[in-house]
Amino acid sequence: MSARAAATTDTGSRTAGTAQVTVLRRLLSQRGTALALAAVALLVLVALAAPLITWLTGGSPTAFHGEAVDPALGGLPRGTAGGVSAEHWLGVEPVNGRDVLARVVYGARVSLLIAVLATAVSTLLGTALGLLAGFLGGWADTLIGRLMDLLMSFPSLIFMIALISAAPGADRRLLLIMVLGLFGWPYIGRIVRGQAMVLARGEFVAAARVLGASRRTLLLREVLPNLTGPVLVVATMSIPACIATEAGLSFLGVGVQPPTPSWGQMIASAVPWYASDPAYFLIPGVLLFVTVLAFNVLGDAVRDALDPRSKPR
Amino acid sequence: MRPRRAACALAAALGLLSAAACTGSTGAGSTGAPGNAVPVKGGTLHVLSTIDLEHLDPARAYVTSTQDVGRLIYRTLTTFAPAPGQAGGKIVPDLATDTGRPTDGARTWTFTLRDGARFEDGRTVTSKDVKYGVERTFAAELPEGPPYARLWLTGGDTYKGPYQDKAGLASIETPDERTVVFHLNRPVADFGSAVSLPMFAPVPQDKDTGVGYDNRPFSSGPYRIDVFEPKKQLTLVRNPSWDPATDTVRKGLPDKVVIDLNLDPAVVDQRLISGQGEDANAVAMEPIGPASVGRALGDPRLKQRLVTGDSINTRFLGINTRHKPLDDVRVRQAIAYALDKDALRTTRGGPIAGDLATTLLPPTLPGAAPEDPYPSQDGKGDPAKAKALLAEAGHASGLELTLDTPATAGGKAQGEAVQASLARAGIAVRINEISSSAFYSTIGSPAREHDLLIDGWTPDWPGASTYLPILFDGRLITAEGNNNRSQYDSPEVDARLDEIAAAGDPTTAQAAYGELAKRIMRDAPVVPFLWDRAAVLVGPNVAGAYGHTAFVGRLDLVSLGLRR
Repeated sequence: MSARAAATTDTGSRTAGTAQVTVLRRLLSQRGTALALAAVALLVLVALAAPLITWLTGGSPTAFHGEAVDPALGGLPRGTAGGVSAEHWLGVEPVNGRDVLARVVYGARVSLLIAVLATAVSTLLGTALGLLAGFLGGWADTLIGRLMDLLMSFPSLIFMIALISAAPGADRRLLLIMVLGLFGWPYIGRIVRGQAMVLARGEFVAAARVLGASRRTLLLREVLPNLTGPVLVVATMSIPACIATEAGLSFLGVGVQPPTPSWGQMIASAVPWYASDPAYFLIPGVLLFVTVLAFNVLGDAVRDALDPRSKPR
Repeated sequence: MRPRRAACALAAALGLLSAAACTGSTGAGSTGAPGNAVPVKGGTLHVLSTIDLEHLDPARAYVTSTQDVGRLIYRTLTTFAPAPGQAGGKIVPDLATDTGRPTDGARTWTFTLRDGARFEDGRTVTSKDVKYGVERTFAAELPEGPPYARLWLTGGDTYKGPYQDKAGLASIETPDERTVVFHLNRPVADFGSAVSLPMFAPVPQDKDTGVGYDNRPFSSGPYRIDVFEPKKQLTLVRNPSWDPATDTVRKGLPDKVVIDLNLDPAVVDQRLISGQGEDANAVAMEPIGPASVGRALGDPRLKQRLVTGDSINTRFLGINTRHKPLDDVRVRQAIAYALDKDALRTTRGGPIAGDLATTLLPPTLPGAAPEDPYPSQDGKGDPAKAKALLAEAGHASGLELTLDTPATAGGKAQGEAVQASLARAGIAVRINEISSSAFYSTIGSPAREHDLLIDGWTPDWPGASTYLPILFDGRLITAEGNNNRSQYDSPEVDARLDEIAAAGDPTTAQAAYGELAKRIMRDAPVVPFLWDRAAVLVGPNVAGAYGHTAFVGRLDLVSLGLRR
């Protein structure tokens, strides 16, 4: 019996392998998607290489450069476009003269780390609980379903702010990952549950059941592999949402703690400077915009590529 | 509840936007335009505030911005002269005919009320109203005001206020309708200055609504409250019973004063910079934000509308002397050497925000003795010297400390500046952000305050008698509402404070306080970094604007009027 089941999976993974190649080819065949993929890859590279970049430029994300700003003008950066110079390629922050380039690359690390790990948490939770709810049905479905309803109907932003303020001593990064992950999983869970319910009534599952496969085998070997598509799509879409929420929370002052840089914090502190030092506002703002856009385009493209019914026009 | 007075300076400053002020030269240039034009009677003056008015009830008003607004609504026995610069620190008669007549070695103070001073319903202000106003400040329901009545009036330590004790306080006598006599338990040379505080404003007993009085204090000044929506807007209209002939301080020019509260600092700056429509008749309550300083100074027309004022406020980094290893004076001195005062000032707007402080008492305060016990090049700190002191104290490998700051943009910026400057000496600082509404109650509790804190102090009137004795007397460390936040406890300093207080003569006392400040600075319980000046934007159609020293350099509202 198990040999039979294993054989099914083998063919399954083989087709999945060829499918992956096709998906990648489909993704790259569109220029917008290719650009988005390149932007995401570049961003990840920049975040990983942050120490290398600051070593090259000689800037540190936390060092003050009092000589780069003019105290007589309220700490406005000296020079053009927010103090662009040979030492500070993207200029400096007003008031304290911290290197903007160093802060955005280290900020990318924080934003990406939190977004990716929070998405991982919500994907894991969402898939596991959604699968259980959809496959088992009955009381498990009721329990998990109500929990999802509860979390989704909650004013999550307010709750996040309260939760983070209530734990002043905790590591903010870890807290943000947990909070974003815990509030994000029902969105994946809902989709997984719906898919799992359909799949559980599928003929191949019935066949495996007739052949005596255990519940666990059915879940992990028959239903789960068929869920990778939707899960992947939702996860890709959840990363930009997490980046935006993290930036929002940092903007509201409950994000990572100073002096750790994050894009949201940079945008928050740049708001009053929009008129006198627009470059300071533009750089993290544009980066956040491009990142969220790239992930969204990519997520869209992944869905199109995986779902033949929504083939590109 | 004394922290309130500092809170005034600080809530505004740390908090919502960096306080800023002008250098002497800019000051002279800028007072020109708005000051010289002659204001006329009539019109509606708008005041744009980024904070809320904490308490309008005179018994509870202990925040400078509220005191500034309060001066429009009620009169006190004496008050500050309506004048720019140090002249504004002078105490002048207000409801009283003089600044008080001391007898019995300054233990008994007699005030005579002016003729013709009236409440908004037309009745005459009597000595009973003044007595009742002071008695209310003893009520437990109204706790936020200054402590002087409780500390100084005979029997004040046991009196529970008029709601519980109908008999009243015997040490305030009213021999006739126009005379009020205060009996003190000790000689107080500057009691005539103390009665300038709002807690010495008259309150008619039948109009007292207890806690509710906060929303609708009964007017004895040029304006009465028309509508008050806390956290949103206060609209003041003329008090028809106020007679300008009886008041030498308040001009009472506009027909109406509208104060918008809790506005965004950037919005206030932007509205006043453009000065369009209603905003031409507007002034800012708080100083200009650092982000707008460059624009305001770069444009000569705007620069003219930037009004500056000196203050008697000192900002400092507080050090908790009871926490290890800060109990070691060498560690505290190392921090004093390491601190980059210039970077801290830049977070508040740069040189326009005031002069770098080198010692406790600002030069605008009588008796201040100039010194710089922890010097460094341009106030940028001396990390080498700090490291040497730390090594001597056995902390060559560095230290870790926690800094309390208010959770506001300004508080964070100052925290980061402290963090970056102490890091140069090997001191790692963790920033603990505290919600600005809970900031003073948290740091006022020795059990909850951490190692370092962003702090400051404005004396209640020019002179160190409401500064050094409140902040550095080791016997005044309390479990809650503590003002000696350094928890500095030196028997030598305590004894000297008693000697100075007992001496009586104000002039010698001022000089003695100056010397004592030097003594305290050697122990470095705090590191002063800024003597504030405030630079405030006024609309193009506003005249009579000047910064007042008693209100941390912010505008003196009683003199403002419109050009047309």
